[in-house]
Amino acid sequence: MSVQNDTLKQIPNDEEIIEPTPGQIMRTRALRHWGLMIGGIVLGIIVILALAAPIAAPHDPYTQTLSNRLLPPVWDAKGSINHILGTDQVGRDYFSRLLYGARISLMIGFATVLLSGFIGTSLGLMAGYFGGRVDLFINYLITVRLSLPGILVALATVQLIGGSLPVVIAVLGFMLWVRFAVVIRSATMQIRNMDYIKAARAAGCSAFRLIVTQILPNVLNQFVVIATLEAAHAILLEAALSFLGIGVQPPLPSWGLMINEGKDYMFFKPYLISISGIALFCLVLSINLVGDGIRDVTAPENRN
Amino acid sequence: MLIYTIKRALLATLVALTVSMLTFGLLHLSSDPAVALAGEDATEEDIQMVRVDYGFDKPLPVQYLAWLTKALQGDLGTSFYFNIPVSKLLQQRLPVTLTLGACSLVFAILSAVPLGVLAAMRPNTKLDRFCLTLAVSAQAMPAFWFGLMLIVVFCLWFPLLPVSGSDTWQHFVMPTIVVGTNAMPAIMRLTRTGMLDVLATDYIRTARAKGLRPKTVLLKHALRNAVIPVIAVIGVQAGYMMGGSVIIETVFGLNGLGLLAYESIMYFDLACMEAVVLLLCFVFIITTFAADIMNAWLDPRIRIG
Amino acid sequence: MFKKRFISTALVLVLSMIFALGIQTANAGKKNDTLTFATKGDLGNVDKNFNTSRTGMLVQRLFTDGLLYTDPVTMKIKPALAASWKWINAKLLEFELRKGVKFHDGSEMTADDVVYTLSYISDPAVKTKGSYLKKIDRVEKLSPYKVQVHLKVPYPTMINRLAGGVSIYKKGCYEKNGNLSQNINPNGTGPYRLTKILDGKGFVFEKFEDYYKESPKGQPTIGKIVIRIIKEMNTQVAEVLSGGVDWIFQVPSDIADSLASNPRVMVETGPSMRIKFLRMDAAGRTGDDSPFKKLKVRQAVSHAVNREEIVNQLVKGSSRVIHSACRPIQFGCIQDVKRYDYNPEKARQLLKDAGYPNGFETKLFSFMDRPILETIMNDLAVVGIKVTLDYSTWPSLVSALGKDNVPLTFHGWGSSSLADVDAILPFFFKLNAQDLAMDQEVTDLIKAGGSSANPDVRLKNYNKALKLIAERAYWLPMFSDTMNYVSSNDLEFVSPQDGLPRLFLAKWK
Repeated sequence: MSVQNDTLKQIPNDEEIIEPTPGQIMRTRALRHWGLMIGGIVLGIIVILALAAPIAAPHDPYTQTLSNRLLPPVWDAKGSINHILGTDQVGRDYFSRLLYGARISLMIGFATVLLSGFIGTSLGLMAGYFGGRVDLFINYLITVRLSLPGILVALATVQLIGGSLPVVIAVLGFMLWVRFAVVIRSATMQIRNMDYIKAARAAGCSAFRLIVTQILPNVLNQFVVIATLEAAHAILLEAALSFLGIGVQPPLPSWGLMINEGKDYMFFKPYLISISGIALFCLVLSINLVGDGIRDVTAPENRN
Repeated sequence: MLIYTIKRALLATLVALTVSMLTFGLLHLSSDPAVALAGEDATEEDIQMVRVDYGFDKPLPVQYLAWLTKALQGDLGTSFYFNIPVSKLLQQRLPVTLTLGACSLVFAILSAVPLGVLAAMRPNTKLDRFCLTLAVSAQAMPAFWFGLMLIVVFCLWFPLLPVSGSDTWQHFVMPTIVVGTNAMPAIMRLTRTGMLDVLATDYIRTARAKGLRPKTVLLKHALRNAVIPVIAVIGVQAGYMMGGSVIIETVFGLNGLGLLAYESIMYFDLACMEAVVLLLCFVFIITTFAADIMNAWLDPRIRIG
Repeated sequence: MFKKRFISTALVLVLSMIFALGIQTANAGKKNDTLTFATKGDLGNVDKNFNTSRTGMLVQRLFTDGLLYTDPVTMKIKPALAASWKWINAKLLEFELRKGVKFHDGSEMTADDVVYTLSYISDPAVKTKGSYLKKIDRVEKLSPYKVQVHLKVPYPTMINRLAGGVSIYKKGCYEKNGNLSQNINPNGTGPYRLTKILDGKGFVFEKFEDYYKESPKGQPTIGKIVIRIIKEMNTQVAEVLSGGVDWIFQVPSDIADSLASNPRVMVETGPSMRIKFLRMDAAGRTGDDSPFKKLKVRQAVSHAVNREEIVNQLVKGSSRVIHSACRPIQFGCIQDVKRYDYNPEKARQLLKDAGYPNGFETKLFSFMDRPILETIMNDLAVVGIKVTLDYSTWPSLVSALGKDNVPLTFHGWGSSSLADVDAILPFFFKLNAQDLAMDQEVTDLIKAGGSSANPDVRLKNYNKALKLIAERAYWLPMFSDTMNYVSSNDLEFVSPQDGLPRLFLAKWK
């Protein structure tokens, strides 16, 4: 940043104007973007904690001690440093579960987006690139998917098949591809009409090659933005499914499941539901902030 | 305009058909309705009998066609669990959900549009950031947690509102806030975007240059144009709200359509499940259809292009 | 200008109307003589013959009476609509009806109504819940106040069944569309009249002034009873704390404990007819290599689960560890069977002997009590059995059983509040899809116990059957459930043996 500021200060004096590279501009913008910074830092902390869970967790997240159940957190008069955030309804260390739960929640966000992103991007690229009937058909698919009451269909499918981590990810993945398809489609349309693509096509480049080598890199920005928003969405939806008792199955510690487990105690031991609730809130908020931030930084003209 | 409307209507019908087919297939393939129907102490023969009785032994397309013909005549079948016609059940449950949906939509619009306009008037200021933070926070808040928290505050700490039920308008206050808050961010962001776009256009600059009062420019010229994409998203949100109210209905004991859907899923009440999903889908199709037409009416470019 | 003013005036008018309509005080409580009760389950049909839900049992006992009545405290059978009853032989029951009993529409109950109701619900073509009704062959009217019930097979517990949940309705009530659906105002003889069905939200009852004086249920005292359906337990608790609801049940022990010191409410703990248990695929229905086919593996499981701790730490209340496959209060339910103490060492040894020194992997099916499931899974993991959970609903479990997919399942059984092992054993040991043991000997013994009129013969057979079940470790009976109630301080109620609240017995203090 300082380097760049110096460069900028030098501009009036220098004969040859050194323009900052696009990368430098972006970096400056990123560093000045408060939302991206806060979101990035929070998300970074969560990711690091999740990755470091095996080292950072003071206890095994699966070890139960029924006689030690529902211990209060350390700030309570009866709390102890041994269990910083107390224990849950079967006497497992809450802090350790929270750390391991971060892994599950992040994984749900990531895996869902991988699946939905793949479906949505492929459809969007095809619709945008080929246009015509393909576009019409894919648009139709999008409308159909939008018309299905998503949460109910997810609920019904998970319930009928039986809830587990892979099932939840698959169902959410098949639900959340729409935004990818819509955005990538319009982005592809713009790029398709650019001269260099037209030229490449005229030169006999195959459609697949063109899409992969020319168009895909150019829609990556949009992809990343949508991916963050949908990851946050997926994490929230998993929490909702788990709240209704049909998401991820115990003993896996997903944050949504932890909220569900703490639900029964919310009037009497409100910290149980609040800690996991706040954790979930922070995660979703930070992912959203990062998504918004990336969009602002990479395409300020679309800051809208 | 007429041709555009007809085209849209045809598309909507086609979508409705596909959705009904998908739901029917999905629900019938992934469960064995006969087992649930036959009851707890049914023997294998009983279950087989139920299968034949209800036609579950026939191929799926045949079942679908039979169901569709009946559905088109208004006969959605009888709920296995509630023992009464599904159409009657829907009639009983729909009003609560519609009331909640309408109230929340009004709440969402009334809170989102002014905030969006405010944010757009002073982009990149503290005010703008505050509005955006509000939107992002509302987006990240788990709805059930928010709902239960409201109960703690307004029913236990300050007993101002009834906890659950749907008898009076007070019962709808908290659910409206929760569902509305959920829908608010999308509308707010779009209003802000739309306003920013419109404010940057030449004709607004012209209007300002002409010396029109800022308020007039903002409300009369800018907002009117900015609202077009907002209407589209409101259509979508209205559909989502109906389907997404399952959790809120459980928390506030509202017993509307969302809860009916949840229960029918839990009890394997296929006829009911299908009907609810289909109804919600229709609501969605109708609201988006209405939004499309309204936009075409507001913006001639849409109906020509 | 005029238009604008008109619109704003209209708006104000509409708003004030909404406010005026809306302002109603909460009408629960002693002040309004209205008892509001909340329950989780909705009800498809107010007729108990067509549903098996707890809400159904609550509702049915309020607005209808049966020929007989089970006292909720002593569990003794008393005459209700019948003044007396006797067995003529093992397949023939005779009832002398009470005179002067009025239906809610004012007409008198006679033998015609009894014959009509019992004949209808025992008709094999009518899809009632509960196969015991189909054991009735025909019902005969001897005089306006005397009926005889002919059974197809000897079935001594028919008395308990008739005292449990078989209501008598007015003659002709099923004519309209085959069942007393929600549309028709059902006409019973119970202490309360069902005056309003709030679709999906609940039921309203009013005291029946002409209720017959000799009723074993006593005379109703509270004027109005409202049953509300509230799914979410937190919401129920908030309601009872804020005075919107007077009485809730099925409150988890942790919540009940936390509420115990709250001056706003009263907490009471009572027993429940429900027991909970683990069932294992001893018959090898999931495949010939199913580990549970081996007795030693089943015994290992029985030694591995720490039931004492589950009862003391999680279930609490009035819950007790049980050793036989029934609720100890039930007729025939002996506890003098082979017992499996908590002993993980022994469990490991047994697994080793059975040829699983490193344990094995299996699947647990259930639809209730997650903390208990997690504890069971943990206990089994300790001895080397890795369990994954398949958590769904009862219909899914039935479906999985039908497909021979269930190696291990944990759930409960409420025996329809009947104090007789006949309400539990024949259901699970019948050599059918529900039966994971498939033991001819056990099934025969249970059948013999269920079809004799002689209590000693019954006891002897049930005794043998329960001993075999324990010896062969088909089940791991876990515990009898507890029932926690939270209520307003003004309310006085009876805590029943079976855990099913009798709303008509409630009184204001």
